[in-house]
Amino acid sequence: MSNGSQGNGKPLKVIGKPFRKVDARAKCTGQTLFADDIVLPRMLFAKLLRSHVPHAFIKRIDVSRALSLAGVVAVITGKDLPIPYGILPVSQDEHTLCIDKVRFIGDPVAAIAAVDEDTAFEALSLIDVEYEQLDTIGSIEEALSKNEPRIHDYGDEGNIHKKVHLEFGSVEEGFAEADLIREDVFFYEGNTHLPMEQHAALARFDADNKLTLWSSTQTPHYVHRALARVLEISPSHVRVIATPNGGGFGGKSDPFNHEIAVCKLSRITGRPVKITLTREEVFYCHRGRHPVLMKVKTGVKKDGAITAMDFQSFLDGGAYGSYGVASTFYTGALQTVTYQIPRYRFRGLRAFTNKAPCGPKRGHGTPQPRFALEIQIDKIADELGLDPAEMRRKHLVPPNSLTANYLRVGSMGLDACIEKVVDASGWKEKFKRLPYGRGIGLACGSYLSGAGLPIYWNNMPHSGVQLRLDRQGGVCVMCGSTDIGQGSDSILAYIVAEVLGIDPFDIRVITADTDLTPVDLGSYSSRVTLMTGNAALQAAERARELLTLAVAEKLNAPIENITFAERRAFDVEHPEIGVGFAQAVELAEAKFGTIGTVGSYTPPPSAAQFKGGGVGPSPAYSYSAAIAEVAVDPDTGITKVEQIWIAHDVGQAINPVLVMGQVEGSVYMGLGEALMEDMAYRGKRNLVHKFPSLLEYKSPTTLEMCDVKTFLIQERDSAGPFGAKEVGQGPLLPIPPVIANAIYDAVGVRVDEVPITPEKVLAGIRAGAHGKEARYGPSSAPEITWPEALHVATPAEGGDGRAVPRDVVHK
Amino acid sequence: MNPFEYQQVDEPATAVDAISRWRGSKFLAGGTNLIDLMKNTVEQPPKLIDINHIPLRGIEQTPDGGVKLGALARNSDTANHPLIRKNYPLLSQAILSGASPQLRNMATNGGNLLQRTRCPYFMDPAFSRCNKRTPGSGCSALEGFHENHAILGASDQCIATHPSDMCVALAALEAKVRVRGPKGERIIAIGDFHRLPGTTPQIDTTLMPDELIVSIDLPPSPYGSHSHYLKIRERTSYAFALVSVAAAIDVDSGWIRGARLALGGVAHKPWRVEAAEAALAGQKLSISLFEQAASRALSGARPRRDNTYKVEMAKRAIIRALTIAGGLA
Amino acid sequence: MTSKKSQKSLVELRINGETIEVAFAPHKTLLEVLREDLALTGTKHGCELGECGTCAVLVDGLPVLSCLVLGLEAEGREVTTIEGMATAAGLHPLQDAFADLGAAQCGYCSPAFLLVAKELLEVNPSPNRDEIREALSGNLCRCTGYIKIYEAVELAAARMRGEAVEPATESIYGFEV
Repeated sequence: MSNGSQGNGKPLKVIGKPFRKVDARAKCTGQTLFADDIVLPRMLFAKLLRSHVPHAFIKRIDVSRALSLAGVVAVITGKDLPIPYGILPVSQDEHTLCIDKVRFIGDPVAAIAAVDEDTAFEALSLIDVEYEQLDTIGSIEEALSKNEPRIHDYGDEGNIHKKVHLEFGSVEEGFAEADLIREDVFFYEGNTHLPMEQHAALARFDADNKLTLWSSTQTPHYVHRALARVLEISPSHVRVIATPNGGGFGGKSDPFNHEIAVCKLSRITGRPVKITLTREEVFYCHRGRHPVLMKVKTGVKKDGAITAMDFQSFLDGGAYGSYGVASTFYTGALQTVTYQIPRYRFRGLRAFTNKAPCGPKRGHGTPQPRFALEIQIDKIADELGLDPAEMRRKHLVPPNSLTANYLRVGSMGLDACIEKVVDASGWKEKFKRLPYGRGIGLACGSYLSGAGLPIYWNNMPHSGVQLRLDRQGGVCVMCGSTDIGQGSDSILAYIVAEVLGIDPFDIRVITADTDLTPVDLGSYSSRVTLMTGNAALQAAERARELLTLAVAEKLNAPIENITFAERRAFDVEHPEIGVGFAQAVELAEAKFGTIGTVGSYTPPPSAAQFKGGGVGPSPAYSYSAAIAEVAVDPDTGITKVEQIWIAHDVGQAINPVLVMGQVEGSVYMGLGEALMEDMAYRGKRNLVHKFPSLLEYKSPTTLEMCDVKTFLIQERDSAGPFGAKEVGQGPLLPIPPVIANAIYDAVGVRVDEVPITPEKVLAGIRAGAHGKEARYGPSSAPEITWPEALHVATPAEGGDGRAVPRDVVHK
Repeated sequence: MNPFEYQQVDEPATAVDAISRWRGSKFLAGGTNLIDLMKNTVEQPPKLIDINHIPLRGIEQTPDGGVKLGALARNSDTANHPLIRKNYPLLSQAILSGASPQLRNMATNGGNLLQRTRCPYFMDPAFSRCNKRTPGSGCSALEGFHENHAILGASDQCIATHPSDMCVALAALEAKVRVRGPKGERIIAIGDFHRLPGTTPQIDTTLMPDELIVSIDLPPSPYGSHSHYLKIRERTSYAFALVSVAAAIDVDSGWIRGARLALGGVAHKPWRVEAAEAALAGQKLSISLFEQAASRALSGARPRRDNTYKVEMAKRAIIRALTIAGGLA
Repeated sequence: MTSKKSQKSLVELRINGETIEVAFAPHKTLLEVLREDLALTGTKHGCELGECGTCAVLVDGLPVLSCLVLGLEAEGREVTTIEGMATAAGLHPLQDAFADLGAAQCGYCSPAFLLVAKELLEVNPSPNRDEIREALSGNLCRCTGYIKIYEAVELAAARMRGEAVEPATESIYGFEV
């Protein structure tokens, strides 16, 4: 891969420049069509009847009264769609509509299509469902202590969905070398994405009996696969169009029951069927941040060098599998990519509970362990009397290295990140020197630029781009990627424009349409800029090559001299000799026929060859460091975050203004998780969401958002297009721990769980005043029997990335 | 939303006449706490009488030096009116701490008095038990989630709180509510306007179903800038008070001639604490005096399992609000 | 069984300067009338209960939540939606500034933010950051962290005051130490 270098040192004209987004005008004039904005002739409206009990057998469903209501066209129940589905091949545990059992309040049992929304709504109350209630599982502890009733009849045991145990090198040897060993327990409460757009989907069977689904999904490719299977239609007869997402953050990454239900209803009625979820229902879709209890044991030398880490995580998964197995591994995967951890053990467990299913939210499975790790590092620095910034900088993972768990780190800008925020914030003058009630803290983080492995096993590219050039000079780029607001459509245009020397607004971008665009796996794991970017780069370079040959022939100039810029192709040594871009395409079309090229991207093979090693590898890792300054009112416990300085290593900003927006948005979301957001439930048995509304689920308003000073570190990574790495998720990671660390500096209280509400801070202050540890947080983690470890020798030990066979371990 | 009939009226008499004829019908003013409740079917009026065209939007000085607030004046217009900003900054502050700018542009003064509780069990008909929504059905909050519920004046039938900020300030300012019914006008003191739940929590106020609020009359205020509205909430916009305090002090060179103190978020009605006011009157401004007043204000508190924090929170809020109002901050 | 339908009324509305006749049932909110009966889908919904600000439109110039206003109440009043913000002369300066600064990420909350900001700048042509925060405090955004929105409002305000300004370097490239 050429990595976007132009060969002739031509300065970049588009990359790194603050162009508008290609869809900016549409979004600022209200013309962007979101899923619910689409209206088709004869369209019906669907509603789902959802369970109001958390765990029950369905004894009987009678839809006859609903069907007899004037205006109701069809009603379906679970038996109409018997084939299960789920995002991961190992967790095919969802049904479109529950067949014999409901597992959380909000689980759907029937779907109605009616001539209008009011009628569909009215018909909901005419469906009679008889439930036989079951005992509920409400927490990790309860799932561990109660094997019965089982929420699912699969999983590792009882209500334990998954248990994993990996050991890289001998942690016990590592602890033996340590001067200090700390053991801490942390809890990260669940929270939800809360996109402003409620999920919506519209299905239509065309005249030729082929299905089209428009949906606010981040993963049209996976929805496509699920639809074909559940509806038993040939995949070639299914078209999924992902409409622009009005916010995703991971919450629109699973195939959803409502998407399948409208397809089925459309098939039955022969009419288009639309569903738009209410805000309450969005809370039931959830797939948000897992609540995670963590126990971390870390050994360090006197200078803060880590000798070994033993990390345990317990995830409250909610009622279904979703991405949960991956989430579980993610809570143990990325600890090793910031500071050197030579020996590492991870044990993770995911429990099923009768709550809305958890899944991937911005940072997928990594903000929770990052919270624990960065606070524990702060505690270690405190105990060793070291400056937490300096201590971190001393023990960073070197660039171009392989971690103990076989993650290949390429470029690594964390040192530069820490340096920036330390200098900008006045850290050295402020840390431990601010008056009581004011404090400053530091934390870091790292995230993937795309998962190295696909969700279902295959050897095909993760992203494909098709490029069509026509004789008018028109350029059309087609890609399966989905713009969820992050600007991925624009990234495609910028990269193609840079290579072809044209303006990004000359390019038509067609994305996220499984009939028209090559597969891209979806907008998750911060993969799109790197992967579609590389695919677009390859397609554009291939097109440029064809144009170059034709233009060189026409100009009678050496091939290597042909340059593309300012909508022209010219001889770089005689810039006045050249042709317009459209003419270049004409020449190429005359020479080669219709000009269309493709590009694709497959991540490099992973070094991790052990079971479970599929989670964590990425072509490149982004890095961030943040410092927060807070004011804590010791009377009320209210924390006000006054300023955050954040530096993010993005490799190369394809468009800096969009990168800034992602950093600021990540800081915002991290702030909400740190201080107020809370997917909590009422009642121990009842398990009703603690108010599924935008009023009661507190997300930060303009009046809570702090000032942010952002620094972009651009250490180009050879894996990324033009050196680019991710920015959409990584900058969230340091925010919850940085606030916790700053609160400690302000009032000497450790709050080892989020959200850090005023009463937790007050409780810590009171405990301190009574001579107890000034801390709020969980005191212990469950003692359980873990499966035998999968042993992997580390690279330093001469390992090859494979698990050590069991008989060798036991010798 | 259930279907309903809709009628516009343009004078108070027609409004009162219309509502008297249709049992269960409702006046529609700002709609900010009626349309939402109709959407979730808590309210199902057969008829809405749109009173927005009645000319009751004025805000004017009265001969006694007070101010008359038209019932249909918008909350934002009221809070930003020069007379209110100057003479009743406490009221401005209270109004501006509530809801959001757009909601304040819609909400009317009369409607603000008639806000219904935000108790989630009342708001969500999926819960069958709520004595306020369905008398006699029970109260889910007693054993359920009640972190945000009342610590004062509650009954075993209902522990909901009144959500208004504006009304807390009105209580401290001893406002009078002028209402019009079929037999003409009458005046209800703000302290008598909202009710405690007792055995009839379904009735929020002493306003009769066929009465229309026409104005809120503010007596002249000696407090001026020696007042403060302090609201503690989970976020700064779009959040109801966990606890709020309206404090107003009539100060004369360090001495308190008189004081008014009312609490929000703690009871079924704006909670005026006259005992605490009496403890302040005639004393010299001091933090320790405020501490005594705070203790006295909460002496009757009966918190439940999850809302004991409110007692301490209310005390601290009172002390801080008085400290700011008294200029000691 | 027949459903509980109510009769439609024929109403004359003023939307974005045009007079439009439309028939709808009394329970329809202005939000629903705009989106469903007039195909003005630029107005979005986030909760339909007055808890997010996403559906804000201007009625007689003031921002209100169209999810809590009945369509019938809008009769005789001037309604402005996002579709009425740009003119034949081009985008409103706020729309340009939002586009320049990436203040619309997913774009779902943007129509409401733009309209609320428009009213703010009409009342206060030089708002400071705190005044902007306060004016926008009824609009939730989950993408931007609001910062690019503040910067866009400030940029538009300066341009509307006739100042020849470009976005601040720090807004686009970040800070230098």
